[in-house]
Amino acid sequence: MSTHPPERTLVEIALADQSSIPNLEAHHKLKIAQHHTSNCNRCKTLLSQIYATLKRIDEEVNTSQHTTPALGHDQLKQRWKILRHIDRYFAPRARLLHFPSTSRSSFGRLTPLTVSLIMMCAVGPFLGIAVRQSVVSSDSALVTPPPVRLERDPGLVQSKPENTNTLEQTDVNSDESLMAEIDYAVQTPRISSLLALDELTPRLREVSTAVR
Amino acid sequence: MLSIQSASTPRPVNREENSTIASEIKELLNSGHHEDARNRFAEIIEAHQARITRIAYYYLRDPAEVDEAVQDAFLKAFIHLRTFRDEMYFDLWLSRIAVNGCLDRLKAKARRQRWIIPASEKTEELIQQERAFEPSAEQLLLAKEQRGQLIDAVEQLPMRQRSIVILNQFEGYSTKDVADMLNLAEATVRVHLFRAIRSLRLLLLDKPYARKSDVPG
Repeated sequence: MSTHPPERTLVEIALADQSSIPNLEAHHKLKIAQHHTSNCNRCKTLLSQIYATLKRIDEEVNTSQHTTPALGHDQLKQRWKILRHIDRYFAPRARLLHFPSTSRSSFGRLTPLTVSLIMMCAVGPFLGIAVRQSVVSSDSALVTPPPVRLERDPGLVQSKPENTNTLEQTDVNSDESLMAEIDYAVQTPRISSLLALDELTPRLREVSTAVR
Repeated sequence: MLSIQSASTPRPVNREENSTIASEIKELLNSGHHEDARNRFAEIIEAHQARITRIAYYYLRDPAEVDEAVQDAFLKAFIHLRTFRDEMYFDLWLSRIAVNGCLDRLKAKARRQRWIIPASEKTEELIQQERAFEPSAEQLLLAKEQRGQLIDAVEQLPMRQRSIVILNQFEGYSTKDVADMLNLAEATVRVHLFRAIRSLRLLLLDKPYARKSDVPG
């Protein structure tokens, strides 16, 4: 009696039905092993176990066609999901807007022209207020000169208490004081810068010349 | 060299035709006809969906994860279709993508389980989910006994042997196809297959389902 074939050969015998045309040598080896197995209880038992294993695999394959739990999925739904993934793959990518991290970074993206315009807009009101203040103060200085400067004329200062009794004296004094104010205003260097404005309002000069 | 093919063969349908469709889709993608390519790919999905789902199920055993794995496999196949080589059958290429995806998922699962304390009971949500996918109580009773032991045994095999058993024995690919899919030599596939069958025989030896009458002749 020949020696027991290795288990691998027995597996090959069991799988022989599934194999494509073997070469001659392999075929001969298998024939010898098959002959041995038919006369050897040990090898026969082993081969039967191998067949049983393969049969169970076959049964599993047949059963799995119908009972694989995963196949219980709604295949149409799964197909639809796959196609939707593909649609998403082709869809144009959404643009991601970055949240501004710091004000500096967003300011840095502006052009110098834009920055200067913003600065001008921001500073403009303050400049306007400042100019207006200076103009108003100049006008008030033109209309009502500070009393300190009036006190420079001692005659005017002294005449005030004397001319408070009669109406005529009051008028003359008031005329005198007005003239003094006008003279002072016209001679003040601050007024020379406003001569253009003065030209537009010639009333003051006319009054002063008429009074003279 | 012998090329071992499974006895009961849920053979891939129309290999040449599918490969031709894949090549056409590739052309459409390259010429920018995305809509047409997408519509043609729907045919491919329909033809291979059940097979890929079955393969994924043998690896993952979790319906929700199987669903995701199948979607991933098809999406990857579509995205990388430009790299599909015409000399390889499309179904082998697609199966390779699916198998690799499943193996990645198993690895990730193993990594997660290292850090997660296993729950003693399933949550109500998971139970409901599994129930939704169960075909019927009767079918389960019939199938459960037949399949449970074998599937458990297959799960105990080393990963490479497991892949070879799934693809060759369960899915009916020849050893040459499996070798192409797994990027192995055919002889290596055969060695792993013999070892896997021997391991399965030993694992199933004490189980009552094995019968002597299974021996032909």
